[in-house]
Amino acid sequence: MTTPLSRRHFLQAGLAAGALAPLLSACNLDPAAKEAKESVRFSSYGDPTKLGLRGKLADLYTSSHPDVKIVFEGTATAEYWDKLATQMAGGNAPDVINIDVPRIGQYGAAGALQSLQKYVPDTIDTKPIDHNLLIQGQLKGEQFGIPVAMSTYSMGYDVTVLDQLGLEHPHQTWTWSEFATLANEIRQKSGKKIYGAEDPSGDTASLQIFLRGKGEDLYKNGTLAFPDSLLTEWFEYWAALRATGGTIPADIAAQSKYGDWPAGPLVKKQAALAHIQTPNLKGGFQDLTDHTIEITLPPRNTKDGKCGTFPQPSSFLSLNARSKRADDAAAFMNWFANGAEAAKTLRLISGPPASAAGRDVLLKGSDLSASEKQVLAYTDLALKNSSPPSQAGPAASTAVADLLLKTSQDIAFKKISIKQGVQKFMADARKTLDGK
Amino acid sequence: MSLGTTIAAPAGHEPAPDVRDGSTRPRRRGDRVAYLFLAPWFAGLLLLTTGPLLGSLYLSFTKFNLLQPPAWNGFGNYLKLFTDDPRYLQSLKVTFIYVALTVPLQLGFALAVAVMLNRPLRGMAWYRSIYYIPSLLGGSVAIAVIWGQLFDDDGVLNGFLAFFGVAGRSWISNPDTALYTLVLLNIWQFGSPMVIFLAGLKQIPQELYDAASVDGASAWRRFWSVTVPLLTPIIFFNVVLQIIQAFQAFTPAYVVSGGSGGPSDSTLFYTLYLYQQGFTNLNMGYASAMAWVLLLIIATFTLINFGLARRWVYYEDR
Amino acid sequence: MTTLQQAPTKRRWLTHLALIAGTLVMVYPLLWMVGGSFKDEKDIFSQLNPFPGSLDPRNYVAGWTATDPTFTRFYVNSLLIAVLAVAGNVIACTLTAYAFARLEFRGKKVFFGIMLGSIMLPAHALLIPQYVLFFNLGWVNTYLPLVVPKFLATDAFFIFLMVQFIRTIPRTLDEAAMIDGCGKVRIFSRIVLPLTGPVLITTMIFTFIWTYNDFFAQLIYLSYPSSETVPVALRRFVDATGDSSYGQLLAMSVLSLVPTFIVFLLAQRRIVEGIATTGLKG
Repeated sequence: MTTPLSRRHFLQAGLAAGALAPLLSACNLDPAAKEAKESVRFSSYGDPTKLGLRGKLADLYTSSHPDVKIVFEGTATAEYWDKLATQMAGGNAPDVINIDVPRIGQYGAAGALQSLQKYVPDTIDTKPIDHNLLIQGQLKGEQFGIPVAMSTYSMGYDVTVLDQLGLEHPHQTWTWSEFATLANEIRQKSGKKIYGAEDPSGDTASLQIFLRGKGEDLYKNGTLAFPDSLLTEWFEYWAALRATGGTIPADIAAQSKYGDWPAGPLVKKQAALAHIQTPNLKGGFQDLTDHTIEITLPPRNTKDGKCGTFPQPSSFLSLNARSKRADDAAAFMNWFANGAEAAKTLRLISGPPASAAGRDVLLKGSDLSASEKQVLAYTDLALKNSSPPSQAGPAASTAVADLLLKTSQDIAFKKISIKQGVQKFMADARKTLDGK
Repeated sequence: MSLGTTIAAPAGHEPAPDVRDGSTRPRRRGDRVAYLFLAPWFAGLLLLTTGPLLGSLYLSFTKFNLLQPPAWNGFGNYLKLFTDDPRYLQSLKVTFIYVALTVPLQLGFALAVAVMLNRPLRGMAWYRSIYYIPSLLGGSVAIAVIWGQLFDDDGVLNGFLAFFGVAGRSWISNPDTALYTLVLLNIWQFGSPMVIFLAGLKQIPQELYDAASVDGASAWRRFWSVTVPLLTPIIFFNVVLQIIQAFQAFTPAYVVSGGSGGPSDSTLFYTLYLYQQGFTNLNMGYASAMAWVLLLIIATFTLINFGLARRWVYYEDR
Repeated sequence: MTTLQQAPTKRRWLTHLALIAGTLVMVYPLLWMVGGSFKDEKDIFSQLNPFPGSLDPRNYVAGWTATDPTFTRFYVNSLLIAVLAVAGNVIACTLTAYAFARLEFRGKKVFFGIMLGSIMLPAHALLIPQYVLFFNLGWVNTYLPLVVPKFLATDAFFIFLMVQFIRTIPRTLDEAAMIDGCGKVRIFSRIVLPLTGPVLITTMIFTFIWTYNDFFAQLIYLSYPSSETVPVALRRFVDATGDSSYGQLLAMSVLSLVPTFIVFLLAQRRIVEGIATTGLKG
């Protein structure tokens, strides 16, 4: 196995500097570096709490398995991917890699990850894990990622605002037209003080929910799986709401990126409806506002139609293609995904455990908090209402997501018409997906 | 690189001995002393700088997704930049506007404040330190939050405007104004050129001011006839370096737009697009080609600067 | 020397007034940060008033200990790297700058061009080749990639800065020393070095602050919690995939400014005292 960039490419510098290396490695400043050579390296991303818990699990595994040392490397989410790509290029990536939905396709397709097929079911037991979650970690039918926890797309609403305005709460089987009506009523009844809903027209996850409700999907076999007409319908739906104040105007939408929690329209009380991925309900919304936030299923196309939602892995554990201790790594992955200690330690920090074994451990315990119960109940509901998702997305799905956001902004700021926007998006996205 | 041959490196006033006149001995000796002083730099150049530079030049001629070995692509990346990538052209446009606005405004502001802070008044140490605070913040996460607080639709600026009955909008997320809030951010972080100006002002002998005062020159005259001429090497340094840094500006847009360069690519800086291509889309070959084109652009501006410098920069050692 | 101090009282007050007005613009964001760091998570973004209701330090306590190891370790690491970088830059850049500013040698113009050219390539394009180099040297997960380059004068910004300052020193001084029998090395240590005080201090301040704040290299080259630094740890408090602790983020951001602010406050006096009072004749 060669590293993407071998010394060969930097022969001159490598040789010259090589002479200096022994001299300098003597003054190695980091005590951990020496131990790391014989260990299984495990990298993950997240906030201090998440990283702390995962680091603790790595230590726990090490202390109960005398022949394996798990070395934990935690990084803040925003920069984790830059670091991972750099380590990959240098041939120095960790053995067990925590990876997210868009990137498993990107890294898997390039051969950076190892198929886990040979470890299933003896080393890694996938039976307790929901089938719909498992297939999202598959490429061409082979398992490349083990889901750890699940995250579900939900529609959040501001209970305090709706009650103040005397509006009914949304119900589980509401439709997109009911959503629009409610959004416009919020605008009108509030005396135009607040807008109805967020503007998710540039968000691929939201578009996917809409498309799936229509029986289509974002991607199929590595390319776009939906017709131009549906994207036109999507943009027109939001343009109409924008015109009536049913959704926030373009500039407020542009400043409220999902994930930039304090700038979100629900938190800033600028709108009363916004989508929420279940693991973010507490830290990203409820903790930041004194209003009460509830979640329900996203709208459907028709009353008796399908709901587009589906459980997604919040992240996968995957195995570096160049791992020298793949067997030990696989055993650790199984313990992390299915084990009772892991479930008890991680709880719902990234959403409910993907493994039914893990969920059972939590449900048997009697110490569930209110927001944990809220998420578990909703997940239960979503699992009952969801339809099978597709396999891991194509390599360029992050680039396509950027493209959709830009197109939606061009339309919202009236730089281009919807017709032009749709044509341009479809053409550019196809080009990007083809790797041109 | 042909850069070196045309840049006017600092030349001493003692004429360099000519090899042809046979006086090679003193020159060899001089060389030896100079190379001794330069030894760390040479070591760094050979061991640390050359390899990565050549590496990135090589990558610019390849398709390289960081995960698989690079594949030779000839001039493909360079060709695509100028013929088939409207976002690249947009990033060029954004960057040129940014450089054109930010360099003169920030340097003018920094010089004005430096002159003001150079006065022997009580409490100057605190003023100087407080004026440097924005630069201490650098590209900290807090900057994104703060800039939002100032320029959001319900930010401080709009609160201020509402006082006068003017209805503001979200300055930071409107494609027509977003770039200017970043220009403002850069001007606000004027600390480092200011400190360099301050250090330069301290090199100017007080006697020259005293002499000018005796001649009856006003403060304004003293500024133009004493301060500015003697400060030209430092002004020149700041102009050259600020242009280089402005072309490479990354952090403000990355932090404030969350890495997207939005809205509608209105803050898509050159290096931000380079970063997106290299690290988000994993087109590192393409990103490397972008880097080398930027190097050529910056080198051109630097050469022009050194060419013009002969007309206005005054050195004591000439 | 005394002309400026004799400025009329009225002028002095006007200057103070202007400076204080500027101060407000400069510190507003800091005030907001400090205020927010004492607030409840919910109130940070919903209250317009930057002043908190109480001075409860819980965000400071929680933030400091939110990570394992705590921030104490990160401060030790950050300060160690910054101090080593300062030493490296001051030594290596001064030597290099003196050669470029005062000595004659073959290839000077070419080398000067290469020196400046080396900072014209954006950092993100160099990152991968540099990582490969340092990895093959076995330097990843040590402080070497962050420190050794400084001792080898790779920071052209400071070399060029010092060249420009050395060139403001009249050459007549060198020549006088040469007549007294001083060699190039003695001229460097006895004449040039003492006279470049302000720029040496400037280099120290900037190297300290920029190294302290430079999170990207630290992020890439240091992977273990025990070797992590302050700016890298700070990034964790904002997380688009889950919880964010803005109160703790602001508290730790405020604290992270303390070392750099102190360094600046103490060192800037030296810039200003500098050499101007020694009455150097131009």
